[in-house]
Amino acid sequence: MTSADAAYVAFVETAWPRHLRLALLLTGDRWQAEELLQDSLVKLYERWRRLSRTDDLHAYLRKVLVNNHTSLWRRRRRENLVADVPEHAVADGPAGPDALVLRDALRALPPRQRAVVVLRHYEDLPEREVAQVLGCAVGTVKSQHAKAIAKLRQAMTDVAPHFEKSR
Amino acid sequence: MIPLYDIDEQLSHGMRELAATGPESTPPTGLLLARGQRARRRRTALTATSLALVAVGAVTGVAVANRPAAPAVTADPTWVSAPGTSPELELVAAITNSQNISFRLRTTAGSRGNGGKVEASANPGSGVTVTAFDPATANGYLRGGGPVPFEMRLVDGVRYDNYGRGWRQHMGRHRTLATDSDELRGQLSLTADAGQLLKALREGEARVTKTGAATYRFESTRPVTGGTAKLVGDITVGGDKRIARIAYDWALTDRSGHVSGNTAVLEYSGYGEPVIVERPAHAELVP
Repeated sequence: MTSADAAYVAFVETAWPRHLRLALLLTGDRWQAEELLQDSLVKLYERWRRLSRTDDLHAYLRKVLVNNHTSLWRRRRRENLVADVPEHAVADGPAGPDALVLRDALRALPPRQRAVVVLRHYEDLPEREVAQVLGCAVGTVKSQHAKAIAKLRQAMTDVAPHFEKSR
Repeated sequence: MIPLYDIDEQLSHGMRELAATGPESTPPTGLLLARGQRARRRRTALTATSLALVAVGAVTGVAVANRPAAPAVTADPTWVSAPGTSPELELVAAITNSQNISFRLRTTAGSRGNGGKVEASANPGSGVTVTAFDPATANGYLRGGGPVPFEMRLVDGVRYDNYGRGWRQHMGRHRTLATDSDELRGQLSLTADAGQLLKALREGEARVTKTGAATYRFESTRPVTGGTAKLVGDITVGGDKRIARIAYDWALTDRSGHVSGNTAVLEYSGYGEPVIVERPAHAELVP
């Protein structure tokens, strides 16, 4: 194994759990999450030797992951391979009922809105960085976020009335 | 979950809870390395050569100088028997004969490491794939060796794969075993795609010479983004007038003098023979 490959393997071992959780939130499906992350890590490998040591590799992988997810969803939609969200395997652990409500509400969002919400509220990125990841304007992030929040609020309060309705 | 009264807090809290209940798994580093190496070889070769016969990760290219006789390229395999035809046309005919027919293929890929030297893999079987495919029935399989063996199957247009974690069945109908987002690969995978080759032959970029009764050498050197690409290879045509073997060596020399690239040997056999592939007994359906 070359030194570059060894460095790549070391990075993958570090990055895998963190980015698998992100992929799970984006896809809502365990298999799709692993597949998405694998595809993204393969893309990262292709560019590995060109990436500067000073690059933030986790941020780079996050960007590849999010954009891969959006383009994959578009392509599958175009090919009519996916008609509905998958019925199987999402969370393996003991997710509470509210988490499952949130999961279903997230999965009902278009992928770009879902990405905005996940990046803002799970990755804690400011709007400017979300825009950089998605390659769009800050204004687009704001509008997508507002639409997503409205849909989430509606979906969550319909199913679980104790979720807040005040804002 | 404790009821929270702010949607931002609810989302942050809920997503963390959801993520924390996600699957625990170890990264398939060996598989990722193998896939990445294949992807890199494919991409670099496709960058430098405008045509290819692709066999999932192994790429080869042949190009022929655009000579006055070339524009009349058709898919008529009778050329091959025409006396006095040029090496280019003989080669085109052999590739045309190899199209739209079942085949078996063994691919052995190598890469250039530091200094541009071709490196043998330390892992037995790594870089070797065995394929059988029948484009008429969309049945076939691909088996990869090395530290992380994998297998893909196409059964009546339904695609399955197994990367060591059990069989998965993919939704939809498929014509090839291509799996990634590289559309070019999708068009070329697992078929001796004479259409792509013929197109490139018409465009013309390299020189073909006949080196024996049924052997041909192709050579191309041309500037590409970032440096100069050199492609040299040999093609052997079998007694059935179909492609039997392609071996190529592709090297990119960048502006700093660094050499990278890859090699591959593609051995075709079993033209016209049935390809029988069984559905896995158990497979999880994935979108």
